[in-house]
Amino acid sequence: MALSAWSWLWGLGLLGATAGVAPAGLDAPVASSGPVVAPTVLQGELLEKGTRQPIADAQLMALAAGLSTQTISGREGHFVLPVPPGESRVEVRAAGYKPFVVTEHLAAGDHLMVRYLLERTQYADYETRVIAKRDRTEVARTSLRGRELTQVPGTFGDPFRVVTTLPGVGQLMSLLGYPIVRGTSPGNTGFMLDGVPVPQLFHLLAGPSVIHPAFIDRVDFYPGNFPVRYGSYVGGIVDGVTRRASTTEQRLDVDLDLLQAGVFARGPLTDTVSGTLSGRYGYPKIVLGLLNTPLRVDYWDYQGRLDGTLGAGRFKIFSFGSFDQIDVTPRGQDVAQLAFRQQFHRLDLGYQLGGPAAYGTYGVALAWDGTANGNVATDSSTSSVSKLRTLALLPRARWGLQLGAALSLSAGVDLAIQQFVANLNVLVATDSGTRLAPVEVRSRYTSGGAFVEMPWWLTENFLLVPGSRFDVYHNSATDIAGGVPAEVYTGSQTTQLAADPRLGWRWRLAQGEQGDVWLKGGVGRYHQPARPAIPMPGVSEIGLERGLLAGWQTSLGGELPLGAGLDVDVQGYFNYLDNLFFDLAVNASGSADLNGVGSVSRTQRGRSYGVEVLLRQREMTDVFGWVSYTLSRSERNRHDNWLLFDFDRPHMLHAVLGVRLPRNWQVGGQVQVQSGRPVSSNHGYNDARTTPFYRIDLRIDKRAVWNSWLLDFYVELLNLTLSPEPLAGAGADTAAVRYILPVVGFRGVL
Amino acid sequence: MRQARDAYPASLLGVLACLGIGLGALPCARASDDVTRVSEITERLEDSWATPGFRLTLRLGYAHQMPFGAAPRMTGAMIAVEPGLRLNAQLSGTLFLQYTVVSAAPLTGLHWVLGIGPTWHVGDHASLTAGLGYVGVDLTRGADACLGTGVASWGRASYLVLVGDLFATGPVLQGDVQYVTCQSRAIAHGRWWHRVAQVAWAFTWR
Repeated sequence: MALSAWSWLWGLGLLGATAGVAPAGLDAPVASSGPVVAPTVLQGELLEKGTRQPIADAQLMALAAGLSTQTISGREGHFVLPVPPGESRVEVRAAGYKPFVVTEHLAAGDHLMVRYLLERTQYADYETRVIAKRDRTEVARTSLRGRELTQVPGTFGDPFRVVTTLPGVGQLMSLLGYPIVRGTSPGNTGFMLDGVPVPQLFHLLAGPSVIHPAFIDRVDFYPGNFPVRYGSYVGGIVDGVTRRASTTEQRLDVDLDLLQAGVFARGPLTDTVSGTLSGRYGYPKIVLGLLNTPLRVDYWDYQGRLDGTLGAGRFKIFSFGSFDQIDVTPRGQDVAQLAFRQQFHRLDLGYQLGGPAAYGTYGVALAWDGTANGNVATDSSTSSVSKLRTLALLPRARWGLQLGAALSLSAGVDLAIQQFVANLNVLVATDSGTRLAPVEVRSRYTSGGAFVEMPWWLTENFLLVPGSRFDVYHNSATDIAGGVPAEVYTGSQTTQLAADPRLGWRWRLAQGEQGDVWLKGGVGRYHQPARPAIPMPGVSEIGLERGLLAGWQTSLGGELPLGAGLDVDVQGYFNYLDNLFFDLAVNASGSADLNGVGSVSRTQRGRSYGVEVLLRQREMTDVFGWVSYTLSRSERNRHDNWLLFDFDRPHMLHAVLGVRLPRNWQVGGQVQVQSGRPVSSNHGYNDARTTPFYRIDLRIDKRAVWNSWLLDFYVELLNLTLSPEPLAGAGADTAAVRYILPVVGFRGVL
Repeated sequence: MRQARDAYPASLLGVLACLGIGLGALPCARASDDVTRVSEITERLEDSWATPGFRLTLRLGYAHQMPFGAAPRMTGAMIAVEPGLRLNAQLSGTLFLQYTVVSAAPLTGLHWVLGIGPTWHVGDHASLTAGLGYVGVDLTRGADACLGTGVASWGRASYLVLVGDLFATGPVLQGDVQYVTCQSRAIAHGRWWHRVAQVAWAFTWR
């Protein structure tokens, strides 16, 4: 007696169950007589269209000739579905996916292998938002993630440029990425990648950041009162945090827009090691060439990383670097001359042991930075190039220990051993005028810092964070060939010491379903060696013999949930800089030496105070955005008078909004309004202002889904109303630049 | 950055991007094969384009601005970005962001229009649009400069060829009337009226 067709189907069901499929709607086998009939089976896998990820727990149903069969896909998306012979209409339904319908034709006994691609109703980049208020020990940190990093209008999709939309951040000019944080020069704000200092965050002119956005998992921004693990800065801290790659992660990302092309590739190399390679090449010279200007701009950057496990811990080998060059073809010449070049390269090795209760991280970075500045001349024989280079070894260690339920301890050490070489051409006075004289400076610079911090929950709702940092800076072994102006470098051996006690606190006033209400504050001492007002690779510390920049930072504020996923953060701050030199000054007055150094090298005091408000959508919804407003004043003390800082802006407002629409669209806008900056007039120094400036940016993103890959297409318009940005002068004498920057780009993700 | 050639590289690369995206959006690029299946399309292509939702149009073309009286003649290449919302089968609302690089020697500069208006869809492919907006000009002629603002109104006829459920493209004809007040008398009289004729090609995504 042959088994019936249903017996065969039940047997297949057992086989399917073994493979992770749970067929439904099948009866137990019934012994019967008659010829063996091979079953007609539809078998295959369900994959997500565009990403090829398997789809589990999807319901499949086949309908034919009034009969229906159904099954549910297994963990890996596999399914086995018996169907009647002939034409069957197959439907697949899964939560979060569009309905899938296909018609299959199977003859009796056919066993058809298929692969069904289901399209999601919405494709969004993977986003996480970790809000662990109890673990937060910082007073003034803002963290950005996900769409907040790469889809903010007016930022070119650049995670670091988004920081300029946050409270407390002004700008030299709206297209340039040099932040002025609470009234301090850009050189006084630390740019970090995983805690390793980088000498520049952005490529030249209006270029993107020097790190591929796909590397960045989070950007932490501290406008002030940053923790003791960050040393040697008196402004703020911008720290990009990268994400370790997992051994199951595979990704290929290729992007192209009007100004650059980039690639990002990640995948497992072994069972325990994952590799990542990325890079970008910028070609603004093509656009500039069409503009018939003598400028040529080139830039590129690269990143390579290995993540894996070694023994009981995890290791990281991270290499990254950046290169920018501007060439100018003088009038009447055919050959371009170097005008400016900057580059840096890093090799960072890291190893981490332990977990949240006790951990140790160890790292060492090898750094090479360089800047070259060309003196372009119509007679190429008289052109010259000055070069600055630094080679450094940067070891570091961090430890953390949970001492109890309410007390933890973290400590660390940082070292820096640097060799600095400068080949300069300095103007010197002669009997007949001035001439360029070559100078070579070689010096060795060593610094070390140690810190300890002890977050302590005094009660369930009150957190105290005392900490202290000690740094020593030493300049030694200086060789100078040629004469160097005393304002720039005296060449003497110098040691400077710094002690930075800091205290922060957080007090939970109320708890609620929408979130907690916090009061918070901090006070601390901050020191740094003098640096150029604009960060410059190859020149990290200058004028050590004149002492350290020093300041006090204080803040007081609160956090309040407003419901509907909205939070508001309000902070007042007062910062005092009691030893400030090499400050950013574009309205410099008074005496200036031949090399223009004297006016910015004078020692002065500074102060900055204000109120910052950040209203932000915290929850992960179809809408993201924030409104940031800063009311502030920044001053410098000249001849016992407090005068406005050259980039003081009393009002700065940013409103950012992004809305996710059906069919994988996202539309966003940003409005920024800022006061004019001080300018000098016939009546006095910095007693007038440029006109206020506003800018409206628009960004539209679309994700198109192909069978095996995704295509992101975006259009971005910066300054769509062509609002003129004043750079200097006041009233009728205002010098302004009017621009619009359209960007069209697309990115393929495999 | 506001030089007369500003829009050209953007336009050129924008065209290439549009063509690339458009070609890639062809249904054959996302079709089934012997083993792989994508869902059958159960909706008419024309019906899918008539469903409410967001639309983005890039428009590239040429604008010929014909003055009334002694106003300067302004012509040049034009690029427009138009985000819009299809409300139903007959009606859409659109935001217009249009930029023209003026290249009527010796006059050069930039002319922009920001506006809003409704679109009536006639059948499955054709549409008629009306709009009202704000006009800005930033012109130079030698050493003279003119900054101006004004208003514009326009009427447009478009025809879209539906390439797939993602992409459509087609020709556009538009006529404008503009009134601009210029702050400098050095170039021409301070108040200008213009008739504008535009010929363009549109690339639309849904």
